[in-house]
Amino acid sequence: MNLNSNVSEEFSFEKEKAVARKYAQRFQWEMILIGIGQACVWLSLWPLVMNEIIPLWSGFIIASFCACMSYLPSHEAQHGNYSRGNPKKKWIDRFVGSFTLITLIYPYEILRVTHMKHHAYTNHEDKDPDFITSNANSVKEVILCSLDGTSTDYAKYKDIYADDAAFQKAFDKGVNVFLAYRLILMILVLLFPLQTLLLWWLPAKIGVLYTTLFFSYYPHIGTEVGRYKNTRFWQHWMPRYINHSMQLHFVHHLHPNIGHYDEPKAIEELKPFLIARGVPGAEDIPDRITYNPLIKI
Amino acid sequence: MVKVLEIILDHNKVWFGLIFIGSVLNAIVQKINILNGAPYLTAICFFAGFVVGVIAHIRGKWLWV
Repeated sequence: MNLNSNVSEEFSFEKEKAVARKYAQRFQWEMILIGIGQACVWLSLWPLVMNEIIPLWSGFIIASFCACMSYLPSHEAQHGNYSRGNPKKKWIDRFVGSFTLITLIYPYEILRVTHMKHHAYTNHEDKDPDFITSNANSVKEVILCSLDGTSTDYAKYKDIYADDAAFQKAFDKGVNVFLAYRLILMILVLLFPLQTLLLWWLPAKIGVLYTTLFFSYYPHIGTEVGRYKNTRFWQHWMPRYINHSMQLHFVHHLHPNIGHYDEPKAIEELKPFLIARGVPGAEDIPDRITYNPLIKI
Repeated sequence: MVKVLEIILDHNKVWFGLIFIGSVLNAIVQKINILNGAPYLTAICFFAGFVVGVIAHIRGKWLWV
């Protein structure tokens, strides 16, 4: 595929990549803090609720907040954005990526390999593991898919990618973790039914719904197949920190190695490149990205 | 052993209904005063969870997506 067709040399793919590389260097300590922090807060809720130091309803609210914060640090790990290609730091990716997902009751390895396929085949009906939610017809459909468990049911992709040995190995590893989570959940619910429901299961559902809605559905509504067409810039009434700045998800699909908190600066510099490529909505990106809305209304 | 595990996993919705939903229903009804002393309450709760799980298993999904 020629990524430089119909674009002047000034905005070539190589130059775009060089700009992106500048924002793909920094060690993302704040993301690690959020990932480990929310998981520790969530773990601490159990003794706090059991000993009646805080009521169960407030534990539920805090746990739901933790669950909403838990995916993004794992997402950075899935892209290897902590180790940055350094084999000695790979353990940080694995540790942060797995530990933060305790709140969502989901294995890191399955999310990692399916997310890589989502990037490789975005909006391909048969090959994109997120197709069902990123191409849902309405918010209601996303809510039902998330609560139903359909949005995270990646079992069929094990067959679709049967020829990919690395995918199979990672998936099988993830299945073991998934079964361990299920076993722990079942034991806990027998011992502490309401606590398990309100501190773990229901917050995880809320977290999955939040993640699916803002990471998968909104950034991909009405988009097509293609590097500069498969994600969009979008607006939302929420301040962007509340939806994890997912209005900027477009740049993540272009250059997944850019650190999440460096994306606004990267977009400011990449804006002329995106306009040259005819990316929908790129002209409306403010010259300086601060608060919501990111896109001029 | 693998075969047994496969059978258990093939019926994961039934197990989830029986154990998870049954336990939660049982815990909720224990908190409702007017139901105190009602016979077979725990058995009814776990049976209700089991039925929900069986229905989900037959349908292949929990909700109406």
